[in-house]
Amino acid sequence: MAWYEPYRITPPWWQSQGKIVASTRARFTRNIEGHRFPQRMDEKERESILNEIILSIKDVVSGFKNTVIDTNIKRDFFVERHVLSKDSQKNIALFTDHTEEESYLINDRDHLRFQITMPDNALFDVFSLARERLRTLEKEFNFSYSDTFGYLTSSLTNTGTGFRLSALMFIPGIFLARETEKILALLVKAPIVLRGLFGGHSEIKGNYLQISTKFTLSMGIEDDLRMLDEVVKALSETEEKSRNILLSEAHLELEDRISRSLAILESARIMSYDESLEHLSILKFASQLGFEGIPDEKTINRLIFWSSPSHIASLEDFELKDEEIDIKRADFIRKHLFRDYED
Amino acid sequence: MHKELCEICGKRPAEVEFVEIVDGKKVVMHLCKICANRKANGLPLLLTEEIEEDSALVCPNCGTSLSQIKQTLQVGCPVCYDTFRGAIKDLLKKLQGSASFSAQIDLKTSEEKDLIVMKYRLKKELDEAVKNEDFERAAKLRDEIENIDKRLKWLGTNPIE
Ligand SMILES: [Zn+2]
Ligand SMILES: [Zn+2]
Repeated sequence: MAWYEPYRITPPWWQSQGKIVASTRARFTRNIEGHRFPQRMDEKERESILNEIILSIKDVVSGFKNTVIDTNIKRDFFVERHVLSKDSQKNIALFTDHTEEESYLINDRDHLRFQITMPDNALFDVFSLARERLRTLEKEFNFSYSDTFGYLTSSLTNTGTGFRLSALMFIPGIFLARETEKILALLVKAPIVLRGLFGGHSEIKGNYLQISTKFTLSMGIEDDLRMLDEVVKALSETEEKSRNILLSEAHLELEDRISRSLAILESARIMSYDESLEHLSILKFASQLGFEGIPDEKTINRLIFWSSPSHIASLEDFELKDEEIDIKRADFIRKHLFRDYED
Repeated sequence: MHKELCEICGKRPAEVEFVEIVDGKKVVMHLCKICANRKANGLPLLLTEEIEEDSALVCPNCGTSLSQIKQTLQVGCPVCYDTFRGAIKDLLKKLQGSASFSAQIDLKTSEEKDLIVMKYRLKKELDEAVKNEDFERAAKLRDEIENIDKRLKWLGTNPIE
């Protein structure tokens, strides 16, 4: 069986429908006491840490899908599944449950990083489940800790609590109503990090914005939860308002935009990933607003997920060149746009 | 592809396309990896001279140099934190607004903490229910909050658990 076969599904956490908050995630980063961090370990140490961790978490991850990320192809694929970061290393062991709601990374930048991801605004649920898992893990490990710095992590942006809580917001209303300026001015004051779809800086696209907690040294994780909850609520309200303004004051322009996106998706023969994100996210928006003649949101979500470069390649051939992927993508979207699907 | 120099330091080659939203507009900059990483984290630029000076200082446990830490914002091992304590505090101060772990943060997990979070959540749901005039639900939520308060009170007087 090919390594990607168990990952043929669109993860349920990506299947948010009708919601401004597409998904929410809690993530803990921890290292094992007395060891160098993975980038500075030799092969022997890597192996022994790996075995030690696997042995200790075996009950937690029993029945999980697992793979070793040892090639760039695999890395890109799992970055697109929101499990890895773009700057991830090689020879990482990845464990995920079958829905990919829960995942454990061993020997990436840090010895252990685990995350809980759920669809919609589930900040409280991901927080609670992540902390429950942490409580279990704390019984198994002595994590690297100092009184001065808290939990010691490889990246200075995680030192302290080693905790990040984030929400992926779907806010086309704000972007289309050109409310971005106002909203960003508001967000800049909050202790949060703004990122694009895949956590990088250069990818604020597809009308998604990821907001994440920031101050791991000075804010407790309960404060992170309360703060992010407030920010998500404020941002959601602004998005609602923007949507109402668009519907009442720019209905024709909106309809025009949607029809154009639909026409392009239905007829293009070559399509870049950015372009597909742009138009598919407009259709997702149209579907949420109840426009007629639009594919259902579940289908659109799936197309957005599978249009990413490595995912298109995984359906065909990982040796494909970028130009060939753009052709396959256009075909894939045309073929599935109005067709119900089974994963 | 362009073989330009970084738009910030003007010394190292530009390798990263850095996109920012400034005043609601998309601004693209071509930066070297070091400047892009530091800009993404809101840090001032790093001079080439500074990098050379710091590369002589090395962690005895893992071999990571101070200049590597300043460039990547990554440390190599727990001992780095002690070896470069002062420099790391400076970096953390700039990155996170504080140089060391707040004594107020208590990361020990406990039932009490879970209950406090749960209570916060139920209170928010209660506000929502009242706003929507769903009084039946509001009454139920008030009961649940009351139960949590009772349990918290019990835990407070029995801190052994
Ligand atoms: Zn530079
Ligand atoms: Zn070190």
